[in-house]
Amino acid sequence: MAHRRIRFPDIVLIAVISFSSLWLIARNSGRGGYAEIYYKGKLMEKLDLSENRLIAYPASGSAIIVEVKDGAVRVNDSPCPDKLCVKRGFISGKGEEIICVPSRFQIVIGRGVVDAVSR
Amino acid sequence: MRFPDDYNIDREDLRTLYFIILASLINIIEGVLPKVFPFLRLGVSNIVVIYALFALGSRKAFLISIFKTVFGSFVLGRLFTPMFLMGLCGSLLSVSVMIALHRTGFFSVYGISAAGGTVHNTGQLIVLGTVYGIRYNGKLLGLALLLGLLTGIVNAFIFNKTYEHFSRRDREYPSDRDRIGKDICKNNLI
Repeated sequence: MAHRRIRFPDIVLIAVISFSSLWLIARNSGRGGYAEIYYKGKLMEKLDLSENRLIAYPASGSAIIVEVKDGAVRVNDSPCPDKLCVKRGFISGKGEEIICVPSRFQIVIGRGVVDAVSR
Repeated sequence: MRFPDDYNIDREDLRTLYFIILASLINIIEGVLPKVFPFLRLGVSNIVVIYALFALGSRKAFLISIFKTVFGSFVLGRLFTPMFLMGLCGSLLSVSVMIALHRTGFFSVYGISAAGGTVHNTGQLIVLGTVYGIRYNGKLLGLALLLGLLTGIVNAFIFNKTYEHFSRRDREYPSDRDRIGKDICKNNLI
């Protein structure tokens, strides 16, 4: 019969699996730390979602107004005709996004906290 | 009165058959019992596979792992459903990893069982993602890994308790060894 008492390699294996699973859970849970603003497919800015404010971005001859409130972000006003991006409302979860096709404008919620450089 | 030797049946084959029946039965009982969460099961039948891995070798453990899933799904009426495919893929992956870890000789029951439970859940998620195209995030994968690890450790504990019980019984009543196999043959069930 093989070993029945717990051995050192078992402890290493169990520790590695539990740490990796806890890391996966921690990495992918909770609200997003920042929002990425894309205009014409290029990253314009990383927005910290911790402070509430209104920001205007120049887009297609006019301005898109982005509102940050309590860790969530939405498009407050947009020059596009159907206003689908405004109707989408607030987003806060990781990986959620607002896309405004006529203005070629996109907001994506990113992972983790904003690093010092982009701040 | 006929014994396995009269029928020219290998004693090991008989034990394999007995283990397949036992594992399928445990699988069926566990599938019928009410569950708190639909996808959370302890997987007690894995204990039989681990015992077979130690006592009968890796080839027979592999056979038992396949047949317990097929028979269990057949009786529960979910043969060739998504749940069956997920269970089969999980079982195959888990028994392969358990055989590999057993061959290295470094790990005890705890490590082998924990890895088996983890890989079983991962295999289910792989089927969910590749065959059925369901998207899931890393949070679900992490939860599946953690739950598989916990159930694996609990299974190893149950295995140790069961093994102690049977080895004590074998020490105290040596004639009881293979009693069940003889009973089956005496009653002409095989």
